[in-house]
Amino acid sequence: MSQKNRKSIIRADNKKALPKFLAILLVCLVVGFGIGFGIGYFADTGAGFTLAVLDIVWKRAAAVLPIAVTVLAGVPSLILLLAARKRAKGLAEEDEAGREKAEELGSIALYLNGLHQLGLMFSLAVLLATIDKIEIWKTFLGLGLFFLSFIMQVAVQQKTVDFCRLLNPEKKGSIYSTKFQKDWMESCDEREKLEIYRCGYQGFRAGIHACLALFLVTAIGAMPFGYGPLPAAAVLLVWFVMVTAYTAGSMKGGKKK
Amino acid sequence: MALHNRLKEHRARLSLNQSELGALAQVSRQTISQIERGDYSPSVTLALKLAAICGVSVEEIFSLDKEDLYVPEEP
Repeated sequence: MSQKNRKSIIRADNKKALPKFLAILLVCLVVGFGIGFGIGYFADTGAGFTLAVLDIVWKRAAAVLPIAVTVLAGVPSLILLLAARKRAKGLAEEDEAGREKAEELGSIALYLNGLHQLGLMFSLAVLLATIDKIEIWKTFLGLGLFFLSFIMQVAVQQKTVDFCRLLNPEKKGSIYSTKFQKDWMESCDEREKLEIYRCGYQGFRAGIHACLALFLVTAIGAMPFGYGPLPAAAVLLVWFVMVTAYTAGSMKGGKKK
Repeated sequence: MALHNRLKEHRARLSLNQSELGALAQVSRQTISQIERGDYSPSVTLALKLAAICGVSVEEIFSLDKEDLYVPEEP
C-alpha cells in the first residue's frame, strides 16, 4: 500500500471518530459548568461542615481502624487460605478441577491480603494525621493494633505464597527476599509470563483511568476545601511514573534483539 | 484460528502425567493442561521441545484446520 493510500485511510479514520470526540467535549463542558456552579454553592455552605465532620470521624476512628481493617479483610483472607489448604490436601495428581479451585481460593486470599495491607497503610495515615488531636494512649493503642495487624498480614501473605509454591513446585522466591518479584518471574514459564503481562496491562489501563478520575476530584476539590494543589500533584506523580515506566519498557522492548 | 493437538495421546503413550511432562519441558503443569485443552498455543520453542520429548515431529502433535493454512497458487 502506498504512503498516499495509508494517509487517506488514517484521515478517514480520524474524520469518522471526530464527531464522537467533539460530542464528548461538549458533554464535558456542560458537566464542568454544572460542577462549577455546584462547587461555588458547596464552598459557601457545606465545605467547612464536611471537613469538621471528617475531622471528628478520623479522631474517633484512629485507634480502632486497624481492628476494622483486620476484621473486614485480614480475617477473611486467613479463612480463605485455610479453606484453600484444606481443599488442596490429598489432591490426586490429575484432579485438575480440585487444583484449580484450591488455586482460585488462594488467589482470592492473596487479593484480600493486599486489601488488608492497603487498609493498614490508610489506618497509619489516619493515626499520623490525628497524632496531636487525640489522647496519647489512643495513639499508642492504635499503633499497637496496627503492628499486631501488620504482623498478621505479613504472616498470611507468606503462608499464601508458600501455599502457591507447594501447589507449583517450580516456583521460586521468598516474600522476605528483596528480589522476590524477580525470582518469582524467572520461575514462570512462557504462558505464565504472558498472563502476567496481560494482567499488568489491564492494571496499567485501570490505573490511568483511576488517575484521571482522582485528578479531577482532587483538582476540583481544592476549590471548596482549600487543601492546595499537592493532592492533585501526588496523583499526577503516580500517573507520570506509570506512563514513563510503560514508555521506557516499550522503547527497550523495541530495541531487544 | 484453531490449533489442534494430540499432546494428551502422546503423553499417555509415554506414561507421563502433566507434572512430569511439564518438568521435562521446563513449564508448569497448568501450561501442559491448557495446551491439551486447546486454551493456549505454545511458542515454536516449546512446541519443538514437546515434540522432541515425545519423539515425533511438531506436525504430529500440532495441526491447523485446512482453511487456516495458506496454500500458494500453482503458477
